[in-house]
Amino acid sequence: MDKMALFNGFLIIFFIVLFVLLIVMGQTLRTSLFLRRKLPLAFCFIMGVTMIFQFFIPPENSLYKEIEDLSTKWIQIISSFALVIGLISLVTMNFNKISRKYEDWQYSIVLLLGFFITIFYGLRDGFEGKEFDFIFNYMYVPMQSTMFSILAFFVASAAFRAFRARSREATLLLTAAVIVMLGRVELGSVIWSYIPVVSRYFDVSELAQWINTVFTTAGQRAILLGASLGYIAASFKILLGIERSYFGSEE
Amino acid sequence: MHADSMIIYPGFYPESRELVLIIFAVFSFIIFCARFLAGRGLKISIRKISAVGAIEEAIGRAAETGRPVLYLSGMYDMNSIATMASINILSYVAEKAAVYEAELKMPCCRSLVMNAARDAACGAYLRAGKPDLYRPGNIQYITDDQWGFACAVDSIIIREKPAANLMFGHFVSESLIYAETGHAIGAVQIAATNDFNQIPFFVIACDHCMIGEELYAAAAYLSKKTSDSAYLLAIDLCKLAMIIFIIYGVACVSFKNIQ
Repeated sequence: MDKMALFNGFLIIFFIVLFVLLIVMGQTLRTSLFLRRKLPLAFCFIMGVTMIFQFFIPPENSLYKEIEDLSTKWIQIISSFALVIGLISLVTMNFNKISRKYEDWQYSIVLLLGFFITIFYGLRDGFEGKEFDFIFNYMYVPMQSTMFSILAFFVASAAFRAFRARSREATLLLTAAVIVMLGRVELGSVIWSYIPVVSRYFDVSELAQWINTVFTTAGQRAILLGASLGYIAASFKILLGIERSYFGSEE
Repeated sequence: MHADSMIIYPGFYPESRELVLIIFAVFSFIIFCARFLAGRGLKISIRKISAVGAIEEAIGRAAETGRPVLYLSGMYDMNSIATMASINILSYVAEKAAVYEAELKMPCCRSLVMNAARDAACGAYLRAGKPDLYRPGNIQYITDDQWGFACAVDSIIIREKPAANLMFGHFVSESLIYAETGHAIGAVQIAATNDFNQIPFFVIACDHCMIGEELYAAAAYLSKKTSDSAYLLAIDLCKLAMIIFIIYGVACVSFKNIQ
């Protein structure tokens, strides 16, 4: 048998045993400091250090491939466990809402109907089924597109507020935005040609490009550098067990 | 380093990743030094972040008006550092909400985030001495789907009209939908994200906005722990080192061009 498959199998069995023990032994194990804190911390440290090492192993090395495969599989396994938790919570909450007739409980009926009908057709026919396909193409995709298209209107309303020249900074922002907008559309260069003096010395599309590549990129890189350093520091805190928010509360 | 190797794109980093390893080692050293100094009693003061101060005001206003506080932790799962920082901030928000007896609502797009958030909020209500006010149902999983989640949050904002809309975490393109809807209903909005593409949207639509690493700094600022402050000091020292490197690089390239 493949060594990695054997290792995966052992890990799955370990977690299943742990899960069963938690259910059977209940409170004693759940309140155990070892299970709640020390074991996850040890896992976190080992996996974190392994992933750092993996980055410095040349990609052509077989060990690199094995670690990458293993971690990808484990992310998928853990994610599927987590999804079950979320789905149970979602269904329970909405059943409660309907049974207790909370405000807007009717929406929960629509949600649960959609949920169970999709699951039914998905399990019965798979992703290729006619009904499942219908739900995906004619309900899910149009609803997603609707939400995405709303964004255009929100951008317009936000831009309108941002471009009101109430202060020196807002005026600068407005000027830069107008130049970039003019530089990005064909009609913009026509409008630009009617502006006296400036249009003779500067090309609007080059000016727009210059604003984007110099000012915008410089600002973005500054934010990115700061955020990346914060990311590195936070990663260290997690590796060393100082940052434990992912465990939830200490109480 | 020779100026020839400073040509930025492509191949700034050598194939062998030696340079990454050196930078990693230098930054690790700086971080450990800062932590060591903090452990030895070095006093580190963190500048006041106005957006953090505004959180308590916003929660107070929610309590006065009897409307809920809406908290969003972004689109990413618990493997994102931004989400972890967000859960830290949630702990503070939940404690203040318990003190002011304001209702806290948090829709989640990841089930693991929901679990961590419930645990953090439960602990915060306990710390505030008001465990009876804690409602696990107020921290609810909605969906993993980006636009499905945006739609649900939008409807929550419109139906429940929260007095405060707090957005901390890694947001993607749906960020403006939350911020603009919140603005339309007149909520006090405070946001922080590490995604530079979403920062302009938050700056325009929110009352207070934290950018870049301020998200992590806010978590450290609120925790008041010396170890957290030490990491902020380390970040600043690393930034200083980077600024020196950038000036050195610019000088190298410029002088080479002049020659």
